Amino acid sequence: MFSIEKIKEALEIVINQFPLALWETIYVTLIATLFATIIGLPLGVILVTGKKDGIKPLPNWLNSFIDLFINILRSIPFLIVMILVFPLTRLIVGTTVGTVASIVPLVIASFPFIARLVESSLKEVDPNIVEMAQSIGATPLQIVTKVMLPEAFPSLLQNLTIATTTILGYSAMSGIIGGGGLGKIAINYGYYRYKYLIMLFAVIVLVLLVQIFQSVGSFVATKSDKRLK
Amino acid sequence: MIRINNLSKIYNNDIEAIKDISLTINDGDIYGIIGLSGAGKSTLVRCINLLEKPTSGTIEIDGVDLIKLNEKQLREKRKEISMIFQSFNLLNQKNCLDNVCLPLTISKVSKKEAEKRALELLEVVGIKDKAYAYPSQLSGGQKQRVAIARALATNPRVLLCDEATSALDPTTTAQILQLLKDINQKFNITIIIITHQMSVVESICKNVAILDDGFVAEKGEVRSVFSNPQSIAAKRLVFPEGYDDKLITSNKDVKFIRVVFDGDIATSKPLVASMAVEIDVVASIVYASTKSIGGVTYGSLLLSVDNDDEIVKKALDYFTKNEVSAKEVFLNV
Ligand SMILES: Nc1ncnc2c1ncn2[C@@H]1O[C@H](COP(=O)(O)OP(=O)(O)OP(=O)(O)O)[C@@H](O)[C@H]1O
Ligand SMILES: [Mg+2]
Repeated sequence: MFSIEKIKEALEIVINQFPLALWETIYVTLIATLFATIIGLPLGVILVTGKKDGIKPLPNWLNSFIDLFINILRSIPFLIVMILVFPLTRLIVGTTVGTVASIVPLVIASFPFIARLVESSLKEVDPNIVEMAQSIGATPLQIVTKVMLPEAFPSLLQNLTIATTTILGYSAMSGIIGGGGLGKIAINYGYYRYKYLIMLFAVIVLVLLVQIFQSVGSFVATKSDKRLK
Repeated sequence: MIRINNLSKIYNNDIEAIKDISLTINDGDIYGIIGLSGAGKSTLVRCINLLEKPTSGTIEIDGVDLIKLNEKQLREKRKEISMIFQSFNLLNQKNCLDNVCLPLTISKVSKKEAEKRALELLEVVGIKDKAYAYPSQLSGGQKQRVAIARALATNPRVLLCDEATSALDPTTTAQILQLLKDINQKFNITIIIITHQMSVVESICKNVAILDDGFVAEKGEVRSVFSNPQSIAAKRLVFPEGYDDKLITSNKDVKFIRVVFDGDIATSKPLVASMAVEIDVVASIVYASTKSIGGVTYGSLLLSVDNDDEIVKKALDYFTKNEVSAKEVFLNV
């Protein structure tokens, strides 16, 4: 199926284009994860602290609204999110195509997911420890920053790793409508030009990237957990 | 001084956990609150620092009604009312030093100053060498020591202990209780101890309230409450396995002595028998509830002797000489 010639041609493309594509994929993933975390982390905190029996209860309607908002965003397929946020992307980046432009839909699609992950990490914090913090006169903000987040740190790290690998997958998908990186190469060569070998290479590199992110993230999370020593 | 007036708490599920409780606890006291499971002890102690909002009644500390405070004032007040817990509640991801620093950093004390004070406190509770260890590396007793150091960090006036020794073995329990006693004397902190164990109240409390189904069944000095229990709840605590009422009431010609083994001494001497031989006082066992853990005896005996004050005194002296605590109790009705 793959003649020597085709392999040669593929290798050339790989050598010429992969380094940049790899770099684009990594930085889009990391930047998108960063921004999604900046929005998702506080939201996840509010999801826990705002509950009726939380440390800073919010009005019921607001809780329901935030919940619904997150669920709706999470149920829209990523491809459609990309199209839906075109106006927003244009507003922020000035264009809807290109590597940087793909960061906007990635953030919009993944911050609700991160909010849920943060929520689940914080729910694991022993309520007795939260109560202790109240008993020493900590403010709700101090309870979050000095008790809940540090206690949930290994679990948050574990969950952020999952988020990063998911965003990596989304970023590859964004290659379909103008995003850059390995996804674009896979689509351009594999889908439009039937150069399956290139697509295969791109997929292999993506798989390796996910593996590396996941292993490093898990390793650091486990290492940082002081309960296990 | 802590004054609790007509305090009641009804939970959302209509359970009335505490009912019309009134207690006065003096400064520097070690006050025990004892009762069976579900009696409402935790509810009561959690109402004292308003972790649980009472349904009615007032809690006054040094004349300030806590319920009237706003959130900010309450947070400040809570720094004067520390709490230690059955499950220690240390931050698992922080070392002991940082755990003890927590109340200080929350009060905006500088890191350097906080660490200095934390080290002093770890010294007070006897585990300075564990300052940089994490909770998972400590035994239960050590964890509770860290928790006590943390509780002392803000120089509180009151220390609430909710089953603070219930997760510990008898020897460690004795050590922690001794530490609490020392702290009470050294810093003149009022200590409120919630427990379901008689031995805890007997070994360190001056006063006690017995909680039964949400009510205060009996309160007063430990000595008088335990040597002369009036309420059914108190009798049930003092004699957990019950005693033969007939044996006591039908026999007006005896006096009773209650002997308590709290694990302080490892007595292998059969004291009741040896008492007969050595000082010629014959006692019969009315009630016994003792167990031996690791060669140390815990529990209590109820003995009856002839109705003669002289004999009672001889017997009490004998037990005292053997380092066992014994008191006359008045059960005849
Ligand atoms: N948060 C709550 N919501 C509803 N009911 C509660 C709550 N906490 C306690 N109760 C009920 O109140 C009663 C008293 O409970 P509490 O925990 O104060 O007892 P306790 O004396 O501390 O018991 P234990 O020795 O088992 O700790 C119980 O019937 C319990 O089921
Ligand atoms: Mg309890």
